[in-house]
Amino acid sequence: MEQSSIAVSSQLPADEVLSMERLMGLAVFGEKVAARTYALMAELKPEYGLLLREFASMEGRHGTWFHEASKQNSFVPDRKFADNELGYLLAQVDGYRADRDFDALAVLQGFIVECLAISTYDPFVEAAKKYDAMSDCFQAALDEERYHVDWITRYLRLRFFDAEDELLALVQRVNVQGIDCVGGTLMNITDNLQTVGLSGADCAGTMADEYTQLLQSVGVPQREATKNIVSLFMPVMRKYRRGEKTK
Amino acid sequence: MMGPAVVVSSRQLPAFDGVEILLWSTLRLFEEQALRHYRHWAVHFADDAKRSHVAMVQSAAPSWEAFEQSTLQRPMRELLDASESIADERQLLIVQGLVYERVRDVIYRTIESSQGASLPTRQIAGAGRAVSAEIARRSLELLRAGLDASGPLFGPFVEHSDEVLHKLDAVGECVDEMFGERFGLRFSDVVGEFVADLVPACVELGMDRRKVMGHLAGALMGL
Repeated sequence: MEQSSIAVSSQLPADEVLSMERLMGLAVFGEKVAARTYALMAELKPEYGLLLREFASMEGRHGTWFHEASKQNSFVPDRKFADNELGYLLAQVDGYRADRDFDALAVLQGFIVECLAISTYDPFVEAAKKYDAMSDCFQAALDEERYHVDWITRYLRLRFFDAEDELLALVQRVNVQGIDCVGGTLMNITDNLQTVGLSGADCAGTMADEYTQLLQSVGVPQREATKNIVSLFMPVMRKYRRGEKTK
Repeated sequence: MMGPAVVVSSRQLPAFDGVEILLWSTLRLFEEQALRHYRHWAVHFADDAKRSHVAMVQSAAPSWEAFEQSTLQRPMRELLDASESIADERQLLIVQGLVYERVRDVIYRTIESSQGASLPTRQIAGAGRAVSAEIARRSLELLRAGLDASGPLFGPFVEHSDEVLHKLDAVGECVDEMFGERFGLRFSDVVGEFVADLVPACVELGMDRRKVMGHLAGALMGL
């Protein structure tokens, strides 16, 4: 890309800078939360410790890449915004850790959180071409997130082989808070996504659909998966429509 | 498994309580619009089954008094206004066949199995469920059969369903308040079931699943 086509933050409209700083805050610090979660999962299942610690390192690196790319474009990732969004997620993660509930962490981090990342990073790869060095690092992160999801999918398929009811109960349990939390974050950044050129509706649709298909791939019937995910998304979408914050 | 849909004639109907009258008044408006549309655009859907179900619903809600005084009145009228004007058969099949009959099917299914509903209400709901499910099925067949002539359906589906879905959520807020506790009729669950039924139907009609989900999300978010 030619240098002249690159946006410089000081020349951007104030609402675009605000949105980019919020989104990059969520991306940088969200990746760090993901790194912590995979590290906790490694503690709970030592047999997968080596791999999950590698996942943690990869997530940590994504945070570093995003931080560097922000700096290069003079965006200051909005930590306060990110902390507000991520606090609820951290509480859910810590609850499962206290219960030594590896499977719940696998669904929450490996599916729900990764689906939020995938549904926003994927379209952002194209939209981010107007910024310096942004698109490539999001593409690289996206590829690695998909790799994590693939492993979690294989793990859940084996863990719940011939135990569909148990899997459905797990998913329904994790979804209640997980979709309220992560879906709620997606609603809270919808206007920011729109400001930087993404469709908030498409991101929400993609997140719900991606998650539905992942659940299907591990044995949850499609109808059950769609019904559960959509019904839990509805309250946060209604809050968005009313102009209310979800947390 | 639902029981057989049957069963009471309008002459046998007992007096319903206020909440049930409100429920049936709401569904009466919804059903009467459908019948009006079918008589004009698709007479084969205004068959004995639909007409006798609408007559039953009318008998269950013989006056508008409770409805007119309720908070449901305004959003319900706005919803029906958004779908009142139908320009052709394809629009009818999308709005009534693909969307509304599926919504009604889910509502009837919920009421039919609700412990909070009286037996006659559950029986009327059972009959309505069977009628709505059948029209939804036949509408899908007709839309599929017309695909070659009409071209891709995603654009028309978005165009004709957007406003309707947007208005539906406002009705949902009142539905939760009035019928949630009594009948277990909660809008989030209705939409969950509805989307779970609708998306495979849209895919059958050649629409991209992800685009459909994006459209539904946008319409329900008011975007």
